[in-house]
Amino acid sequence: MISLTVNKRSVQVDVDPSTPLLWVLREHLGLTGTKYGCGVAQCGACTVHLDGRPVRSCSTPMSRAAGKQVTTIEGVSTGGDHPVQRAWLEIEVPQCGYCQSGQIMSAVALLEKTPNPGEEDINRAMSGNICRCGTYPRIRRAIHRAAEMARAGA
Amino acid sequence: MTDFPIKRRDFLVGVGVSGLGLVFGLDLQPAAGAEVAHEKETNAAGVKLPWARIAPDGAITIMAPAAEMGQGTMTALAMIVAEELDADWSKVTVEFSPADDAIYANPLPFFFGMMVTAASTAVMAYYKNMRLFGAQARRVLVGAAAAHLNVPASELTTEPSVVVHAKSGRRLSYGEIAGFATLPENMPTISEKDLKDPSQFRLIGHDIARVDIPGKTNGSTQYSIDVRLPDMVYATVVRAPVLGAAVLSVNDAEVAKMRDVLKVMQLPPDRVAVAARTYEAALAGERALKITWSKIAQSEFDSDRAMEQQSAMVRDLSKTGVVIQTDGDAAAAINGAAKVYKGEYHTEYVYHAQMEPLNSVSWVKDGGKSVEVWAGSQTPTHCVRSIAQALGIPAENVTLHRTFLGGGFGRRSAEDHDWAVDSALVSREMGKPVKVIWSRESDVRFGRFKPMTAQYLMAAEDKDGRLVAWHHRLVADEALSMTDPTRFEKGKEFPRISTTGIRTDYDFSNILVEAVRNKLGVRMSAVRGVGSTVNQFAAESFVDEIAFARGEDPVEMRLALLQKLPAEQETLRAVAAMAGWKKGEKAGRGVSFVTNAGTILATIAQVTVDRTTGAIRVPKIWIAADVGVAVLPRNIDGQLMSAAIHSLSNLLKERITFKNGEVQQSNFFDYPVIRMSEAPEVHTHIMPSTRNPVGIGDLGGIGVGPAVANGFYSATGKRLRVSPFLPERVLAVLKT
Repeated sequence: MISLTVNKRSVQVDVDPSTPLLWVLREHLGLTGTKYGCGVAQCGACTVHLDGRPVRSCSTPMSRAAGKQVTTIEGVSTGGDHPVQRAWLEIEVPQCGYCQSGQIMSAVALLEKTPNPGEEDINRAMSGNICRCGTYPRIRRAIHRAAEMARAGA
Repeated sequence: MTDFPIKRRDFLVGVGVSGLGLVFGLDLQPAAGAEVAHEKETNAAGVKLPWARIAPDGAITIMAPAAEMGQGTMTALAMIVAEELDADWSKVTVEFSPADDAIYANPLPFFFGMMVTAASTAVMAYYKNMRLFGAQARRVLVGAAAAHLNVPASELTTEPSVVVHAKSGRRLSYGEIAGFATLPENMPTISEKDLKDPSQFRLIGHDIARVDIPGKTNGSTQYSIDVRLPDMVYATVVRAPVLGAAVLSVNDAEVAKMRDVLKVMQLPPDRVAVAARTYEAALAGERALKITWSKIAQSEFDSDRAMEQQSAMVRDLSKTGVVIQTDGDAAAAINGAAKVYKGEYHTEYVYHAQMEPLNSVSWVKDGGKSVEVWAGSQTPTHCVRSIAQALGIPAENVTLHRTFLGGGFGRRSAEDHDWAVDSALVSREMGKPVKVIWSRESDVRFGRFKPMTAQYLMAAEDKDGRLVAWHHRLVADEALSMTDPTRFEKGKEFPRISTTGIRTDYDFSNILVEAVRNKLGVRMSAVRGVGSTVNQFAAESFVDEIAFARGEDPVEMRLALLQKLPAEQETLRAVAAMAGWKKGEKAGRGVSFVTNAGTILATIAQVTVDRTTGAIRVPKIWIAADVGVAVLPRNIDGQLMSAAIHSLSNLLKERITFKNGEVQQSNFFDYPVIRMSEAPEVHTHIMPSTRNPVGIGDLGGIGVGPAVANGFYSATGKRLRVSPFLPERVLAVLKT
């Protein structure tokens, strides 16, 4: 049994310690908002927060997640009202949408560390997340917008 | 595009026939745990039509016939119905229609009465019929209200979701009407004169929020990969790395002993599946497989050699092809010319790289006699037929639950549904629901690619310096033969998708455009932009070469060649104005002008080159687009941005290569795609227009390749002729 906290709920799962966190979240716990894209930490679709830091859950073994706090897209806000999510809606970022949970988790982590990011901060924080629909310019705008909303306390 | 194969009369009769079947109490309820609707009886009353239903509480549900894979037509098509229905948009929800060609087929003739979401056609194809349908449904509501109020229908008007009798001040909401109305035996006849004048549009042309966005910001949108069923098991499937090879041996007994692996099975003709209790166990099983494959002629295939062979073919004018466009006598004009320009270009295999790896969920029931399938398909009725055929059961025993697609780009249009049939076969074998997910490595290696092309162009000047002839030769395999053999055969090899966008709009008096098919035995597919991206990379690079050779400004020369086409000229002028293009500029900016199926695109790209590393950067792209009526402008801007960045990624980075018949790439580290730090700003301008809408999602980026190639020329004085523009190719060209 491996114990961890997922979206503030403590859970126990009976899996091999080498099992990637991604499959535990998706298939064992039913938190399917976190996506499988490449399995080798190349695309970022599986990004979640581990003790507040963004990680690629496809390449994070359960042994590393044990005892830690995991936040997924389902737990990043109540009712989808995190400033990043609201900015994503306002700018209408997603197209196919498949990569967007990962994009949002990376953006939330960026803004927690750097509330007023410059273009290079965004490049560094977001270049691990591929969007095949090419929504990058809107992601960039939405990050600036979310920063603005967060500053305004909205 | 104004011709519809389905006559309006047939369409209306179709609705009427379904109307006769109207039964109060029939409604659709979402199935628990699944995204897509099950048909199920309830006691709720309401008016139900095959395209829409109105419930007594006023809720309006509109069917989405097209796949939603990011292009936004789930919203745009419903808006078109809602516009003419005069529906209150806040009461509208949209759901995927059932897979039923009889009602929901794409009306364009080259889809042969089948549901197909491809080639930027959804809005263009359904626009007129959906307007007529919306207007017809509105007429039914008004008629029912007139009878109920005992007033002539001519005294009634509508406001969003309300029928108004101004004389008496009485109002009936659509919901109230749905509570008492029945469909008339003969549905009213609607013609185009009954449709709204565009100046009255409340929805079309306005930035309505896309209905699919909220679920895509909170993780709740369900793709087929997210479907979970009771007692479900998992599987992965490995295919022959060389198309046509067969399994000679496999270490199945060994893999079957691995933890949580349930079964290793061969699926004829060329597949091995590993079923397991968990997906991680299935993947581990896949990695432990040792399969010996038969050696066949295709095992010798080498894509570098094929490029050389295609180069020889395309230059050999005696190898004539199918004529795609002809005017005058291009060969004679070239033979008698004062000056002849020549240019050769190549493009390599391109992979879809849709973010959701191919997957499906199937639940074979009744001892193999029926199946429920969850899949995100661009051709859902093909999906049903393919699964029925694979299981040897009638198509009516296949229930397809259509889900959102985590990217399609053509990969999820393949008629045989290689990726959906997998789960049906394994489910039958296991007697349980099965989710099959292709690993990313399988998605790449068993991918189906945009074919490599060779292109050779000639243009001739007469003694007065006028451009009088254009000859464009294309050598490529034809992807539709594998993507959709039914359409390929029904159309007698037309349309070809390798030749889209290859026609020239320029005013040359002698034109020959021909395509030579070169069968290479490789898995192929429609891929975003199909032939247009590669054909226009060649054609518009070549036009630029001619302009520079003649000392003409590339915008001015194109404008002169488009003198008989005012809308095309205006679009080109618009992009030049937007980008601040200056005559004779040498700022590392390139221009292109392209059209396809009525869509007009003028593109300018800013290019910088790192001469040490060979890296090309494209900080800015400007696109002016004439797409007819812009149904959802903000989404068109988004599609242009998306297609431009996708095209740029293809051009700068992407290629699939083959050695010994096998794909050499396997994941994003050796098949890189564009990322945030490399993404350009994309500035768009949508031309005002009143003509029927044409497509944009697939096509919006087809001018980007040549604009970047021409910008590279502007920056360096060198011409890049082989896509992708890999750094080593850039460095080699800079040394010439």
